[in-house]
Order: sequence, then structure tokens, then C-alpha cells
Amino acid sequence: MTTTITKTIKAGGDYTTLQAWEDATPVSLVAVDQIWQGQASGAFSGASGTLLTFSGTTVDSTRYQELTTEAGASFRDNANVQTNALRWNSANGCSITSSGSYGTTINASGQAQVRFSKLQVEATTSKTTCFITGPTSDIDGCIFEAAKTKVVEINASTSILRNCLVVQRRTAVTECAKLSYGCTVVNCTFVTPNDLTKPAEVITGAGASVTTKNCAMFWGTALQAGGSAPTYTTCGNDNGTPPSGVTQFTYDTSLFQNVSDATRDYRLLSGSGLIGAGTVDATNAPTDIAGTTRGASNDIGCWQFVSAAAVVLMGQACL
Amino acid sequence: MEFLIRVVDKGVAMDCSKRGDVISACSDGWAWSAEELNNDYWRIISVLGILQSAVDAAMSSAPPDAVIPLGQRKRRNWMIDFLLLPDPSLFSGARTLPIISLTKNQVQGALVKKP
Repeated sequence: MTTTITKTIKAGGDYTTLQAWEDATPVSLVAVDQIWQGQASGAFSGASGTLLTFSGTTVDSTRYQELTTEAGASFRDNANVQTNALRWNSANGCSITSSGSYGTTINASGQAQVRFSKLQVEATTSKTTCFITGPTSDIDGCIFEAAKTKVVEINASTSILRNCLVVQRRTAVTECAKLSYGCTVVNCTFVTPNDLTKPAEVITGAGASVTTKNCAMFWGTALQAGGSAPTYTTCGNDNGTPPSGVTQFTYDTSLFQNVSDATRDYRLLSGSGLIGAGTVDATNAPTDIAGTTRGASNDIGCWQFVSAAAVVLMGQACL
Repeated sequence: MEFLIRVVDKGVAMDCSKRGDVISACSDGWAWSAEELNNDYWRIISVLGILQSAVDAAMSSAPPDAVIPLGQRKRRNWMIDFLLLPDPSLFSGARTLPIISLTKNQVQGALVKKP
């Protein structure tokens, strides 16, 4: 029977750096029949580009590496998660930042079966991407922000990005995200603040068609370029004449709390056209980025709107 | 700075971390965990005044978008050749010191690019 080996990654934990946790993974998780789970807490930063590389571990679909947060340490565990601005903010929970002049904050391009959840990842320079996946990876409920040519790169037909916020903060770049080779993207929000020059495209691709469902994709001169045209299901975009499966919305504060760079906040607000406009996907999006159960009505994007009255009740339940 | 370094190959595959690879680079006085201080596959070295360019080299790997087949990507482009350090025996077998102090010239001189 597979055993989950849980290690804390924090000051005073089992490991103090993300890469030490990864390097301590048994060379074959299949041979030892283990899931190697890291539970991070606090803020991780570095100036040498890549903070965490996954590679060299033998895995399969039931024995893999998983990086998440310690209980109570994620932005989604914050008592004010419903009222905090939805953006990268290390004060809200565990965060990973690279200020390096090259590389990728987290590079999983050489490793299959990586699971990654509840984390905030940032790249602050123009030469660093937040996250690149390899095959068969599952990235759920994370915030990615960067000022790089692309913020995230999802690269394999067997990988999925879901319930994530992806914010491009560099002006006049090519793209917000690169989604390629038939990967699946569900209930994600891909945006550039509207006081920055639009990227050429919101998403670019290569190879086989990407499956895109319930995604909010705003502020690009075009929606998509490169590779086969994606399959869209109940997505939202601000460009004219959207493709089948995409509805046009005006990208402003009628949809999100705030779309300016300095004060960005990608929570939906009451009356947003994205509310209830998605398709229920209980497999990939049973909860949103904040941990809210989506239930029978699925909003477009990573955030599921909760009425103010419900927020008050949720707050009382936490007391 | 202080560096966590692997002293035993993790595996035979090219993309496993190898002897001489820097795992993590941390600020002086880093509060390493017991596991990090005691694992015989690792060492911690303390180096005052090392050049940022040397740190960047030690931490570098192939660009993520380089066309390298899965499993063929080296973890690090550079390694520390322990034979070029004053006491190579400190980097084999059981650990005898929790943290090994070296000069920046010793470390920069032992940092070699992999073929």
C-alpha cells in the first residue's frame, strides 16, 4: 500500500529550502511505494533564478511528488480570504519569489506527475517565468504573477492547470501564458492589468489543441495564437468576434473588483457577467481558488462569487 | 553565503542530482534543519564574500525551453570538484563537521563547468 511521506518545509521544519526537500526524494518513488509530499510554510525567495527544479525521480500515477502548504499556511487558509484582494501577496500566505536574472521560479519541465497546490509563485524580473510543467502534472488553486514574456507554461497533453490565477505584469509582451500540446485548463483566470499595454495574445500554444473550460482570459490584442486552435467551453474574453465557446465581456470593474496594476483584485463582484456563466465540472473544479465549493452553479474564472451575506456567515463559522 | 551540496550521486540517470551539485544557496547564518545538517549525502559549506556570478553559475541549469529530451537534462551546469579543495576527505563518507568553512577563492577555484 502506498505511503504518503509528509515533510515540512519552513524555518525549523524538516527542510528549510524547497530544493532540499526535492533533493531528498527517494530516487524511485515507485520502488519504495511512496508519495513524497512537501508542506511549505512562510516565504521563500532567492536571487539566483530557479528556486526549485524537479527532475530525476521515477514516478507513476499513484507515486509522485506533491508540493502544497502546511495546514493553515496557504493564502486560501487566511481568515480573510473572502475579503483579501485576490492577487499575489506574501502577507496572505505561503509564497515563493524569484528575483533572479534568468530561469524559472519553479521548473518542473523535466519531471512527470508533479502535483502542486495552494501556493503563490512570483517572478519579479523580466527574465524569469513562474512555473513550467512537465507531463502529467496537476496544478490546482495557485496564484502566479510575473513580469516575464510568459507567466506560466503548461506543456503536455496529460497536464492540467485548474482554479489558478495567472497575472502578467509586464507591459507589451507576447503572451500571458503558454498552453501547449493538448493540455487542459479549467476555471483559470489569465489577465494583464488594463493600465498596462496589452500582450500580443492572452495565450499562445504549440502542437495539439488545448482544452479550455470556464476560463477568464482578458487583455490581449488577440485571444490566442500558435498551435492548433483551442477548444473553448464557456470562456470569457474582451476581444470582438470571439471564437465558438467564448463570450465577449468588457474587461473592467463590472467583472472584477479591480483591474489596475497597483490595486489589482481579481475577485468577482456582485453583478459580474462571469457569475454563473460557466459549466459545472465537479471533477476538476469542485472548489475555487479560495476553497469555496462551487456547487450547482459554476462561475467563469478561478474565483467563485459568494454573496456578502454568505461571507458574513462564513466568517462567523470560523470564530 | 552558505551552500547545501550533494556529495553522493542521487542516481545514475542524467537528470538526477550528482556529486558536487549545489542544492541550495542561502544567506550567512542560515538556520539549517537537523536533516540538512546530518544527511551523509549532503554537506554544508560556508563561504564569505563569494561572487554573485559564481553563485549564479553554481545554481544554473539548462534553460527550460532548451530542446533536451526528458531525462537528459542535467540538474546543474556546474559542479564543485572536491578534489580541488584543501581537504577532499571532508566530502566523502560520514559527516564530521556540521558546516565546513572555505574561502571564496577555494570555492571559486573548485567550481568547474560540466562537459
